[in-house]
Amino acid sequence: MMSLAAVDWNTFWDTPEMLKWIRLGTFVLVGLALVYVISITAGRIVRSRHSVHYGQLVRKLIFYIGATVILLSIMMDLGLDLTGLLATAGVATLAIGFAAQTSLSNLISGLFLIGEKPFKIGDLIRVEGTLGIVESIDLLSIKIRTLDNLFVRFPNETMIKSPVTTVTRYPVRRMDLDISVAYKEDVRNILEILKELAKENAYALEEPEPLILFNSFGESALEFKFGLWFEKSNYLKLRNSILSEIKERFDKEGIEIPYPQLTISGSSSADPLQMNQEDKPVDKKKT
Amino acid sequence: MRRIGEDRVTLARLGTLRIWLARAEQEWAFSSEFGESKDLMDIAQVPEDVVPSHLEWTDMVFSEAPRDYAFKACALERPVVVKTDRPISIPPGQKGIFYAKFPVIVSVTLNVGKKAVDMGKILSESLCDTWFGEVTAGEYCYALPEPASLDLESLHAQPNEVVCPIEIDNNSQDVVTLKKFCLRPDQLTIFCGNSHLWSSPVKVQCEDLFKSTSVRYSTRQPETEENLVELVKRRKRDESGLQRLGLSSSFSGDLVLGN
Repeated sequence: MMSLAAVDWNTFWDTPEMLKWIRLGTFVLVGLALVYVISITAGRIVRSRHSVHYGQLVRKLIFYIGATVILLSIMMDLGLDLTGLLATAGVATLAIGFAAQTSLSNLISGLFLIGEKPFKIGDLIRVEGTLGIVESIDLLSIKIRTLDNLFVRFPNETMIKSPVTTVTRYPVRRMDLDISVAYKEDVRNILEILKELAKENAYALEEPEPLILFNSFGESALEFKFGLWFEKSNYLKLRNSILSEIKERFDKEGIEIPYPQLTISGSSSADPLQMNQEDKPVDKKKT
Repeated sequence: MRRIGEDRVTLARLGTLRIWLARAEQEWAFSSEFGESKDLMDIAQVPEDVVPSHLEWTDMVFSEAPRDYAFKACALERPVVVKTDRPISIPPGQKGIFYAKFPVIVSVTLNVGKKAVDMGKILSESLCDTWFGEVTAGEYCYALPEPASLDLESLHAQPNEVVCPIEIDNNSQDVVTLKKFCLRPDQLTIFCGNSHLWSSPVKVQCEDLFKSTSVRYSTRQPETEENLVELVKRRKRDESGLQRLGLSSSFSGDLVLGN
């Protein structure tokens, strides 16, 4: 074994082998740096002209293609026979094709998603009961961050197969509230109060006009539908404020929000059964 | 520019708006609230002990707080939807002049060396939000609390309010009816009048050709009052923005008119 002391350091750096390695190392470093800079720049240009997710896609595509070209160049420079590699690639493609069915399905679904653009990065979407903000749209999967800060990855195939709701697609939305009041209340008065509440709320839009609907005769209450339009970023503010305002106003006006009620009648009579409660001393031994 | 005195607080009153402005060695703070009286317009320096305790202050820290400050008027950043109290029809070849009023924004600025530092902007009157256009594509606007009027006197504009003359010229062969109108205050020049503010006029022309309507924001001062002082210049718009606006105006319509 050659010890380090035996190496002639004066001529070591001049050997053709060492020069070749230095050249390859420099090629890798400069090449990767260049590919990185080009991918970032192209990604930024595309992002500014199209959308964030197109920018991300272009950036990743340029980087991976560039890195593959560098790898192949190095292999050729090292004298590795690429024809053998290409020959085995045909057989490998078949094997990989079977193994990578899911990935290919996701890839194709990803291309459809990119073409269709049902949502963009930053949109709030609901998929299979999960609500979150789109963090990235990639060729294989969509990554979303839920409102309680969990990271969820959905394969693109799922996104194509499942219904996806884009909550923030349109600039304005309507918040529908179901409001129940006791049967004794005056319907006209309730409609008027709801109209006033919609007008006075700071986050409810004046137009489109609010939906105020006497919806149905419920089991225990008169049921109203109260729909307020709002600018999409004001969801939480509107929900907090309008629910408080409804409660305060109903309390002030003496309007009853009833609990579910059940009237039990005997079979031969329509009169409700009388229920009496007796106070009995509790037998402590039994308990 | 104004200069604040030692241990004094500035109280500015404009319409119902009250702005409190205080200075310490290394900071400035301002707060605002709404009062009852509508027709006030004055600035005074008051002792610190008269400042109400319920105010919420916005602070700005300096290594050495400047002494000079100014209040500046600014146009609303969002468009406003102008409505008439009932649909008003204009026969062919006729024109009508309506007056709409909207509040101004007050900007509090400090003079730091040669630079003016913006401390904050305050809407001089609270306005409701509204939407103009379709629910899938439209514009987030302010709703004006009072409708536009043909009679200037009936508007009763306050010192914090800008009165905008809107001239609607019906050059078409049909009767047009004004229901509502999307007005862009940032495209108007604002002038100071005797009792309230004025804006440059807006001219709306309804033509037969493709049923088109053109909205032109003028820069000249209105003819209703003389010796007006220019306060706010109209905002310049870049070309791309102008093109987008043109397209959206052609398809969605800034003015909702109908027979």
